[in-house]
Amino acid sequence: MQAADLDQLITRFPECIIAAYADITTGVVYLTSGGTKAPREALNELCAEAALTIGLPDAPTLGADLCPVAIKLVDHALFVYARVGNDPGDALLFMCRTEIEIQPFLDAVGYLALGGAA
Amino acid sequence: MTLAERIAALAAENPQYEGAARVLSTRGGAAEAIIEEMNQTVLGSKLLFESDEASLGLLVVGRRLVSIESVSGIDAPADLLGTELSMDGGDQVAQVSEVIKAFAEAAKSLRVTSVSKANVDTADSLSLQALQAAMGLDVDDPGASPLQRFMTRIDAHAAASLQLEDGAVTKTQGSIQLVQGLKIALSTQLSTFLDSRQATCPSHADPSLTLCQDTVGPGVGMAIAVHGSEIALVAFRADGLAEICSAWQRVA
Repeated sequence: MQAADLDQLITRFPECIIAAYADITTGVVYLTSGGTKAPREALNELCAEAALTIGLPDAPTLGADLCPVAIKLVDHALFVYARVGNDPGDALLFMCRTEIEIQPFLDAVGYLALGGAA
Repeated sequence: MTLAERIAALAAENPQYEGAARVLSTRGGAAEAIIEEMNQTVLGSKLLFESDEASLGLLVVGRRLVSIESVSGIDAPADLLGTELSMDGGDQVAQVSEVIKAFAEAAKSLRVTSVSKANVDTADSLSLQALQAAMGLDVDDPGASPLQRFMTRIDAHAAASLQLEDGAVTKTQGSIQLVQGLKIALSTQLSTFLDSRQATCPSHADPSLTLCQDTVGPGVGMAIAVHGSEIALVAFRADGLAEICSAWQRVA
């Protein structure tokens, strides 16, 4: 995963405001897209909510199985959290405007999470 | 209205009882009456609808249609009888809605007999809302809350659901096994999850819809919709995710 992969995704989906790659078990953000100007607090909050929503590797928070991808819709934003590749502690974190086309975006995120390019 | 007036009004109305069969009012439409009868059926039951000229036997559980068991007096595709119906079953929704419409249009009077059927599950079944939509019946109740309207709109994608108001379950729907899974999540996980989220990100205020893919099983995720004092827990099919989000944006 490289920052350029996140940049490419944001270029393709301009409704995506924040794109980051993080270790949700420790809360360390490895990468953000070049255009992301989110304050550290916002990234920390995204990281914490990702850990809560998709669950930490040994602790599903909802249901019986570990969640690969979660979405949260509130009135002002869409949040997407996707577990990455072979490390269940790593995740992609996104905050988007609600106008985004959800299915194509999820397809691109899923592809990226599996190690492809957006 | 006094009790006596209510009893008199009910006596003048249907349903009346004739032996084992119950007469249904068709004043609001026979098709609507059939849908409503199915909507009242939670435990596995064979509902035999009869008019003077025709009959229609439907296997129903969890407010969903599992199969058409028998038909007489109207035309129906032979391969539809006894077949387990599925939302993924091509044009089954359209075919079944045509059968029900044909029966309803011919029915000047309508009786129903309900016989309990044990061990009926809804792994494959049709949602009533999908049937209503295919039959051109109104699916949006103008008096319904946003969460109820949301549930109506996503019914085709919900394998099971629990609806709660002020913490109490008000409605369950769908596969018994999946409903049990949702009840376990409700009793052991939901409060902790919502409280933790409120503490973690208070800026993401409700109403909210959260969808977690594949947490119930392969291809089946769990959705949590929160709107005011109402909460819905839904076991949803993965292919319906985008439409579920779209439905939420329309009602919330």
